[in-house]
Amino acid sequence: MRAWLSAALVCAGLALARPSAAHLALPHSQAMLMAGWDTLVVELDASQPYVGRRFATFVTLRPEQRGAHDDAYTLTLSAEPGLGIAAVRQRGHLVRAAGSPYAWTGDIAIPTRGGWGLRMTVQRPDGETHTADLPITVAAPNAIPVWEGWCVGLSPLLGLLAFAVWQARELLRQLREEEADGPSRAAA
Amino acid sequence: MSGSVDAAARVARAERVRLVALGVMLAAMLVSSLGLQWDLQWHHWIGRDRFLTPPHVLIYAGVLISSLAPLLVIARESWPGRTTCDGAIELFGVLRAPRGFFVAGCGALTCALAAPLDNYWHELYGIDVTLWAPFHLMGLIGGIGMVVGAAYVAAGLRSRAAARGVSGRMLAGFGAFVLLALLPLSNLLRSLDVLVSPIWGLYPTLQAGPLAIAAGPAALTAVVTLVCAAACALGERGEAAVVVILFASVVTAVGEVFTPWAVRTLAVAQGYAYRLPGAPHLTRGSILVPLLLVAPAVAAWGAWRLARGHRWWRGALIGAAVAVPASAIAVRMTISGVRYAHSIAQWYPANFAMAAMPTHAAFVRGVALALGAGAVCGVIGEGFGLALARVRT
Repeated sequence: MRAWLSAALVCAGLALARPSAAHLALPHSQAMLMAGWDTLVVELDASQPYVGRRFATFVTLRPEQRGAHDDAYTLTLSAEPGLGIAAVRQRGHLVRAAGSPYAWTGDIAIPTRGGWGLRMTVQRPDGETHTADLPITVAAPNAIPVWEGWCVGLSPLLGLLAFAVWQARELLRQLREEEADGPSRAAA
Repeated sequence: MSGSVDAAARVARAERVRLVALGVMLAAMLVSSLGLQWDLQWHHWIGRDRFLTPPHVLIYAGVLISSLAPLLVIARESWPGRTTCDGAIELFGVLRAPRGFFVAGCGALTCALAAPLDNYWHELYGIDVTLWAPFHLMGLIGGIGMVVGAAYVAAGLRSRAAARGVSGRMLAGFGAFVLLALLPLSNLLRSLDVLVSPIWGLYPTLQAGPLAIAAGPAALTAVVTLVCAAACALGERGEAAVVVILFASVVTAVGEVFTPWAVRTLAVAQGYAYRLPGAPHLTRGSILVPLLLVAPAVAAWGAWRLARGHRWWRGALIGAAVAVPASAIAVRMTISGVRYAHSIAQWYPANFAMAAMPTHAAFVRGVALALGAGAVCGVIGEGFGLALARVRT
């Protein structure tokens, strides 16, 4: 019972513990596009998008002329498959960043590897719509995802633990037998 | 009559073969252990540019030899027509050998399997990841299996020799084999401190919910306690002190003296440039660190003597006693490691976020955790030692 409690405590500790925020900062790419007369600055949080992995997108609008109705600008994000890519248009998710009528943040995931175009559609306050495309190349998913690597890498631990449990049970049995046989044998 | 003489001769021959195999395994493991120390230095100063670097060659040569020795013993004892020898267990109805050889063989196989997977992982995710990577840990688990298996083989030889009425001096020799097997274990486990090193692993602080905890004290305490407690539980003739002094001298001589020289020599010979300022060299601190491990060992030995009559809490007491000096050393190592990492920060890529120095509160929590971890590992280490002392097969 005591052993199970200790094991549970250790597992709880391991589950709670996680590395601190010290890590490599993610590289990002930036591009400047024209949508009609307006300029869009698009930042991606990944220099290399991968299939199925959402990558964050941050878009800043620099309107040709600022006006009183700039908060009426709308921006939508989608991804258009390139030639020869057997996929359909993907909708992204963009929301206006807090505190600025000219910035949007969101993300999008691409389902198939190959050449795609990130399409930003800007609707001006007067109803005029323009689009801007950012070509991207989406890489295939990694052959071993990180979680799978950890599962495979740590799987021998199960064998080691099974051996430890076997030995612990055998030791307890031996100690019980020694106690039953008397203190003289235990001392020996 | 002649049948029993034949049987005795067969057992003696089998035990000799096992002893020779154990000797080969231990020598190969020490070679691998040396390769591991060298490899850590190599990664630090030069990086990883290909799979078969000289330290990797040394590591995997040791693994190969360590895997062949148990394989040959298992093949010999399982050969069709042979009768089961004393000290062997049967696995799957066809394989026969002492259990330690099976464990060591599985460990070596795990190490061998981890090598190409690790190379593949580097190809996928980059070359300079830390020890905190799945297939590095897989290799480490395999290494632990190898040395645990070797310790079981040695302990089995010792207890069977005792049962045959072998003299005390010979038994001490077998005991030395057990301790020699614990040496690479302690060295291997010591490499776990790389996980919390600010230079290597960048994880000197663990975030447990809202609490920041300095990880070094608990990690180092756990490592030292496990081996010290196992050594204490093994013998009553100062063997624990012997194993730790051996450990300290081997680690000092091999890890700290040989590896800087080896990195320098190979770097010149193969035309490598260092990626950090300076060059690998022996420092006063690097000599002192392994020697400082003697303090936890003395604490373990003292606690073991004090608590000899109290079986139920002896392991926990040993662990807590070890935690005090071990966590002090770990705090010192963490501070100097973070300072050194910051002093060379400009040599790292611009997007590389350096680990921050843990706060005082994080250190206090880390030491408190070390006491608990020490107590748990003391119990585990004592159990490991008691199991080794009783192993027959």
